[in-house]
Amino acid sequence: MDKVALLQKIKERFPDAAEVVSADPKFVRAIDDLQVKVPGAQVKELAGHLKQNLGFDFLNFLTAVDYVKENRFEVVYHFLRSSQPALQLVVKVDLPRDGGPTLPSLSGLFSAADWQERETFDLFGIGFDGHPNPKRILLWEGYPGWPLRKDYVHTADKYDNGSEIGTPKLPGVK
Amino acid sequence: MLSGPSFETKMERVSETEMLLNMGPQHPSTHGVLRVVLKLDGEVVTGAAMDLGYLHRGVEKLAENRTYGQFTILTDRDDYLCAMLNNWSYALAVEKLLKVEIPQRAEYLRVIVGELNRIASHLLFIGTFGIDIGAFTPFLYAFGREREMILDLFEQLCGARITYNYVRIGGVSNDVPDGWVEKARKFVAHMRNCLKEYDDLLSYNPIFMDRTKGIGVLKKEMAISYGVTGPNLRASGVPMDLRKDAPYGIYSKFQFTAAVRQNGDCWDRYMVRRDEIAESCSILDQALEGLVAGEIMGKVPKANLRPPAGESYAQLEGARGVLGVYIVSDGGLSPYRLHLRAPSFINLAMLQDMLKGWKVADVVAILGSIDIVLGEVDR
Repeated sequence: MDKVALLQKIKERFPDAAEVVSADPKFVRAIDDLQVKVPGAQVKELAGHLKQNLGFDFLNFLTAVDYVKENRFEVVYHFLRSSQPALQLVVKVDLPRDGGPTLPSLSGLFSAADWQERETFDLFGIGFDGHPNPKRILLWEGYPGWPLRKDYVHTADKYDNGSEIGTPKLPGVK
Repeated sequence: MLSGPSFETKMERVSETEMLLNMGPQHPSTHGVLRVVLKLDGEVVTGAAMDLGYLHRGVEKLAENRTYGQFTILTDRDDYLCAMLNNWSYALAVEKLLKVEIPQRAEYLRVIVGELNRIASHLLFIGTFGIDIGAFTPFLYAFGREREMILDLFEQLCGARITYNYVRIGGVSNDVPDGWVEKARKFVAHMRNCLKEYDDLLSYNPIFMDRTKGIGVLKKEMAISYGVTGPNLRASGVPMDLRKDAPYGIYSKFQFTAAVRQNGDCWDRYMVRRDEIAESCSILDQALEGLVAGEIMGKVPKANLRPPAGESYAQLEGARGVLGVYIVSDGGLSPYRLHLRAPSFINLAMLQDMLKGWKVADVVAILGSIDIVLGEVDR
């Protein structure tokens, strides 16, 4: 099934799904696979549809990106078929940064989502409704803040040795 | 004592006939620092929960504060048992953004070092898995003899034994020294003979087979649902191997078969890795034969590398499964966001379901057989 047919199939059930296109022609999209964006409320239903009807039985990985200037998170899911791993399907969801951003959990459909949603929660503070064990996984309970958010401020502690944290500074580069 | 972030809700109440057992974080068979909380009914495991993060270094955050070239060094430290493949997957993702062409010689060298490193990683697995089960001798051969030869080859090639920083964005860092290819050929021939030795020592050893055959069965459906990849998945009868199914680099040029087994028990997971060593030897033969002369570095700026704004995802078949790197670039000096799809982390998650119903003595065999590296689990 090629990209166009796949998008068509998804749009039949989910009219709100749209292919991700970039406004900037110079933007390099080095992922050849189909990328669709859906509203957050529909992601669980879409994942179920992908699994049951379209053969995408494998959640390759999920993660998030913090677009702080646009005031949104983007949660990225990569699905594939275990029999045909060359073809992937990227599903993206936009979430507002304010308040407590939450999405429905996919852990009932794909066990792979269990720990990866916890990781996303741990590092971005994005909640997943219906997760059986919604706790931090890599950091400890009570850790201050969400470190992979762009506005995270490092709290100085005894392990800092005066080295600066920030963007790399190279000689002659501004 | 019983409070831990991961098990409170996952495990129901502990009844009067049950007990909780903490395994780790300091336990030799966890191969690093991993805490497993086991709920036991007599000798039978009725629940398990993992507590991780002891080695968390925040690699993904560090990436946002480093240049693209600087980050290669950190990929070495994720899965430090197959650092070459980590370097490679990161380089692939950046090269996709840059749309740079890689010289053929560099492609061949990547395959050669990648497969050698895969063998080294599987050798360490064979050695330590033997120790987990109680067979110490294979360790001295696999880890102390053959793996050492591979590390010597790498040392001659790039000066490092564990963290190589060899596969760079655009190519590789060093060309092979004189006589290296011949030494590598000799090693491959030697390695083939050793497999027979391992079979005698370990693979078909009756005690080893008793401890592993039919133990810790991972069903195909569960493996797919958990997103398990690599030898663990192939031992459950799913022939997914990216080198075959989605060839990257020059893998489409080589003749080999993906090692697959059907039962999904500990012995099959062991045997898939043993078979993969043989397959890697055959790929190495072809790659060493076909190694062409030429440049080893593509046209990539040495300093101030600024890939264009965009996003990229590259994945390859690592020693433990699909090693993926997802990069979002804003056109700056360092990645805007970098995510590692770490196979050990994703494979480990299934352990919480897999241990249920097995005896406490099998826990070490099952944990050993899924071959995790905590450096990659915690990142």
